[in-house]
Amino acid sequence: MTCRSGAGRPLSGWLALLMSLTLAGCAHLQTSQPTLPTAVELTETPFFPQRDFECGPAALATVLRASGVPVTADGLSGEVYLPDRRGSLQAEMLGATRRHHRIAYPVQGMADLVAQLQAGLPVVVLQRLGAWPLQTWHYAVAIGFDSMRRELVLRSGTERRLVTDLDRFLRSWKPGGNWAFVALPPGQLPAQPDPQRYLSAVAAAESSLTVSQRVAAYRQATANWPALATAHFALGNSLHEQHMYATAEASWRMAIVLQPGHAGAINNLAELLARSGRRREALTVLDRALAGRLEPESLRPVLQQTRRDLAGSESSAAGRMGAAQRRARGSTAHP
Amino acid sequence: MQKKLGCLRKAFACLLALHVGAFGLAVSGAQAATITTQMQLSAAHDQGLRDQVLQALARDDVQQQLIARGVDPADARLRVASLSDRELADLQQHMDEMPAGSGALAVVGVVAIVLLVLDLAGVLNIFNRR
Repeated sequence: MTCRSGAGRPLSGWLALLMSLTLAGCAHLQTSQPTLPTAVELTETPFFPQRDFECGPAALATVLRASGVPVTADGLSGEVYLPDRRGSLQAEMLGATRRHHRIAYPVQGMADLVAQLQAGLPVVVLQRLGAWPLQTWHYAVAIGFDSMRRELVLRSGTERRLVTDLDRFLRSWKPGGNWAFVALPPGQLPAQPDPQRYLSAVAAAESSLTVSQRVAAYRQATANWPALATAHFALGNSLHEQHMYATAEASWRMAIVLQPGHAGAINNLAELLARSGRRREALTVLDRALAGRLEPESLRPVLQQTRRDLAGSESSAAGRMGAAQRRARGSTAHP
Repeated sequence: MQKKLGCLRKAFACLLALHVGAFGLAVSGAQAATITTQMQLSAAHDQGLRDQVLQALARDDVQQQLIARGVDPADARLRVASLSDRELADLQQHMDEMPAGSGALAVVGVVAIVLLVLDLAGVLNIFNRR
């Protein structure tokens, strides 16, 4: 299954060249590989030999333990193993990662995978092994890569150090859509982070993380992408949950400066203003936003509802006169 | 999915749907107030907002599906709690078609090689059916 070429380096070099020329089908994958020679192996990565059909718990334990979570493969079995399918589903692998206070960040493509290894992050991969009719899905953990030898090193099944040919690996990785992820401790960014992928990964983990972990994760995002409105918005939400109202307000205002129609930031800022006795300002913020384009437009009903709520509570506080005046002015033109 | 709904859940869904309809609000029931990070992100990148009622039902449905496939009920509740809205929707629709990584290839691989060798040697005739 593995090819460990010890002798005959020049010959194997020619063979590799020949193979790479003949493997035109993988051309698009090769272009995404790093150009400089790369050799990395995360030798300290723990190893949990798989039992029966439980490569999911084993792979998960490997990356969680590597990121400092004290778990074992046996302990994770009840969290990801699906008895009737004799295996573990991808979504549940991600869910279990979050339950252990780690952010499951999806890795996209070989170059991304190698970058994560270089940053010290082992990568869970889904492979399809075997040939029809004897095929099986398998989770392994990539821990090393050698660009000169075109080899990948995996913690896989019962093999502590499985060295596999790169093209063979790419063929096994492709059927599952090149699916892979790393487990990030909150506050750590992956290598070459993609803003949308990172924010979505943190947002999906929100219910599992503590509020200070959420703040730490989003703070990294605002530090790394200071012009990204949604990062400031998300940080504001977490600060607000932490009862840090002044800094939450500042974060939402920053999001609105960066993206004037940011629906979430406008809505939540207006709410906070209204609750802290600044209803007029809240209504101004909402009206200005509702007059223009929102991002995303599909959240417009929420802002309209917030405006109705605020206008309603204002009228009860300021008496019937004000409300009647606003109704007379009509709903389209706001002061 | 509809068939699987119990009477109680149907009634609950109708009540919530009525409530949502009455207030002309597509997003959530009583707390239309705050927009969460996930709402903002999924509204921006998916086609639109998934109704909160449907989301709650999806979570319940996936939990039942896990239990039906041998997961301990207490574990199932925790397992669905950490899934994102989109993951829940995918699982609800396609749980049985999704890859389930098992990786018992050590056994499978040996069997395959033995069969292939026997086949090539002409003892068996599995891989070349002519």
